[in-house]
Parts: sequence; structure tokens; C-alpha cells
Amino acid sequence: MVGWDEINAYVDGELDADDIARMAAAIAGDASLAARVATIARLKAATVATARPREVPPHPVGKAPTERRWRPSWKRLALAASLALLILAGGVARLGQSAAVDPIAAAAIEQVWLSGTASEGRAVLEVAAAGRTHLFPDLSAADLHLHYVSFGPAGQAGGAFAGYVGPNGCRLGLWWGPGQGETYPPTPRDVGSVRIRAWSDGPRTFALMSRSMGGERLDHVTALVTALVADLTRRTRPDDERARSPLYAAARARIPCLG
Amino acid sequence: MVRSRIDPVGEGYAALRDLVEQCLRESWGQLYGYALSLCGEPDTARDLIQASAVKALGTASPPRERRAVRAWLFRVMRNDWIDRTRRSAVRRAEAGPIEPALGVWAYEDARIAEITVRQGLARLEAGHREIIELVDLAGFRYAEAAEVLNLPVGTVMSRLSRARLALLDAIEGSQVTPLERRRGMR
Repeated sequence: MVGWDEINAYVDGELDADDIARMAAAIAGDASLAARVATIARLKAATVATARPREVPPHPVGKAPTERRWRPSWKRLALAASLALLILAGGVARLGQSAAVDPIAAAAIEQVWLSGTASEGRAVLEVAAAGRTHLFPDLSAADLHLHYVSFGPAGQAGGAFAGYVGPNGCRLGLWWGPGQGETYPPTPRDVGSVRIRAWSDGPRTFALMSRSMGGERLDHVTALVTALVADLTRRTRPDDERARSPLYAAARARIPCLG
Repeated sequence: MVRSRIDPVGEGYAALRDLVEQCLRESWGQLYGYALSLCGEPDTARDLIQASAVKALGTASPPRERRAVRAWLFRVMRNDWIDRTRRSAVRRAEAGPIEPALGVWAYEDARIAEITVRQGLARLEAGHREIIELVDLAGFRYAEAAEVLNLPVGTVMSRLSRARLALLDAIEGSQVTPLERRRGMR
């Protein structure tokens, strides 16, 4: 007897030549089997006809495929990263001595995003479209995904800001800007309800900040991001296995979001 | 599948990223259809497809073959969806083999039309809708769908046949009757 699975596989063209011949012989001698095959074939055809969902969202990469466009070769990526840092450093210089070149100021400026009330999505898609997601650490192994990028207000404070969101709504911001020449390890610099871990490698200062992530998990992630950022600034890919294993560990050590 | 790592930032990487982008563009409508079948409503589906696209575009070592890239894109999105739903929502018990009732064929072919199928699909449980979406709408072979779903090919085969039986049941229970049939009844 021919089974239901096999009838479907026959209609889908998934049987080999011998089975097709056997099925054809069976259909010829069994009207009920022939009816079932016809029904599945008709069902498949009608299902295919339902294709093309309405109101498909726009493709995130807006350029035509034949259009000549920027290719993110490594030299160009490195140049872009250097230029970004130069631009940021230049912005700081123009602001003069009174400018708040500090992660604390950045936390204040980005508190709207950190609190979850800002719109998001478009900026990071534009970054993806430009092939520049590689300039930001990949924290997906810790269930944190890039959702927001800002070179605006935070840039005026001397840095860039990348916002990551976790599956429970945890929001984590990574800020970086010019350093003051001194090197220091990740240090708590909490301000109000915003937990901040700041560190510097001399020419650059970095800070991770979150209102919704617990301090223990923030410390875990900070230890990992320092390594990722070091890879990024050394211009190597930041998503190697060495970095990803502890990221998974950080994800497993998940503490529920606080906000 | 064996993937060789290439220089992740050189011209080879740029070519692979171009391939990913091209496959994304070509499969965008089908990916959105699949996102809809997973999420069940447009807003979440839009968010899912965009997040998955960002993830795919940022991957250092995508597959190198076009067909593999296409299946991989669907898998990236499915994994993203599973991560969001914490995997619990997609655990489904794989029941034993099923067969429609023997004897008189129970399903009326005249009821199978685009509109009844569309409504039947909407009533299916997510797992059934998903496998039909992959094979009939996205056009994957069983082996490719198995790769997307991370399942054995045999499981795909049985899940699909069960899903089609559920779809036939949903169509039979539909209150909608194709126009051709109504005309024929006059």
C-alpha cells in the first residue's frame, strides 16, 4: 500500500526513478490513490498561487544590484574606522576645553535610548546597508543585537554610541571616544540608575552602560567587550571563537533585566 | 556543510557579502512570507526580517554557493525567531505516521482554490504553516528544508504530509466556497 507521505513526495518530485515507476503503476490500478494524488497536486498548485504576500517591507539595502557601490575591503574598512575616529577627535577639539568628553555625558545624552523610549531600527539598517556593521562588536552570542547607532548628540560629546538589545528587552550601550592618554581597566562609574563600566586604552575611552541590565551581567559583558574592542582596534575580526565562548557563558549567566 | 573560512575583510569577503545581499534581494518576498508564517502578524514579521537581514549582512563566513546561501538566509531568520520565542514555542512532538481515512476519499477537490487555501493556511498551527511555506511557497527541496529546519529529511517529509492533511481539513471546515463552485451549483 502506498503511504500518505509517499504520495506527497511523489507530487513534490522527491522520489527516485524506481519509486516513481512503482507509484505510476499503483496509480494506474487504484482509483482512490489516483484521487489522492490529484488532490495533493491541486492543493500544491493552489498553495503556490497564494504566494506574494502583500505589503512586503522595503529591502534594507536600497541600491540596485547592478549599481556600482562601495565594497568593504579591509583596507577601506580600516580607513573608514580611522576616519571615523579622526572625525570624532576633531569634533572634540572644536568643542574646546569645556566640552564634556566623558562617558558620563554620553550616558546623559543617550538616556532616552537607554530607557527604551527612543525609536530605533532605521539607523542600524543604514549602517548595515553601508556594510559597516563590522565596525561594531558582535555581541549576538550573548543574545545582544545591534539596534541603534548614534553619531549625533553623543558624537558632539566626543564619541559614538552603539545600542544593543537583548531578548528580554535589556538595553546595553557601548560608547567610545577620544581618551586622555591614561590607561585604566573597566571601572564602575554608575550615575543614578545607569550602570556604567568605563575603561581606556590611552588614545580611546570606552564605556558600557545600561539601566536594565544587572551589575553582575554587565561585568561579565564588560570583560568580553574589552577583548572584542581590542580586536576591533587591532583591525582583526571580532567574532572569533575565543571571544564567542565567553559570550555564550555570559548569556548562560543571564540575570533578568531589571527594567 | 563544510565552510572554509576566507579572509574576512578582503575582496573574497566582499564578494561573499555581495552574494548574500543579492540572495537577500531575490528572496526578500519569500523571506517575508516565511517571517509571516513564523510570527503570524506583519509588525513582528517586519522586525524579524529586518533583524535577520542585518545579521546575515554582518556574518563573516556565509555559505559560498548561491543555493546554500538562500537556505542559510531562511535558517538565520528561523534561528532568530527561535531565539526570540525562547525555543519553547517551537517544540512540537513529532507524532507517528498518519494516514487519511481509508475508503471513500473525504476531500472535495472543488473546494481547493486560492481563497480557501489562503484561509486554511491562516488557521494552521505555526509548524504546519512553516513547512508548507518552505516547500510550496519558497520552493525548497526536502533536503534544503531539512537544512533550514535542522531536521532529518524523513521528518520533513512526514511533517509536510501531516501539514497538508491539516490544510485539507481546514479547507473542508472553511465557510468560504470558491466562486466557480457556487456558479456550478446554480
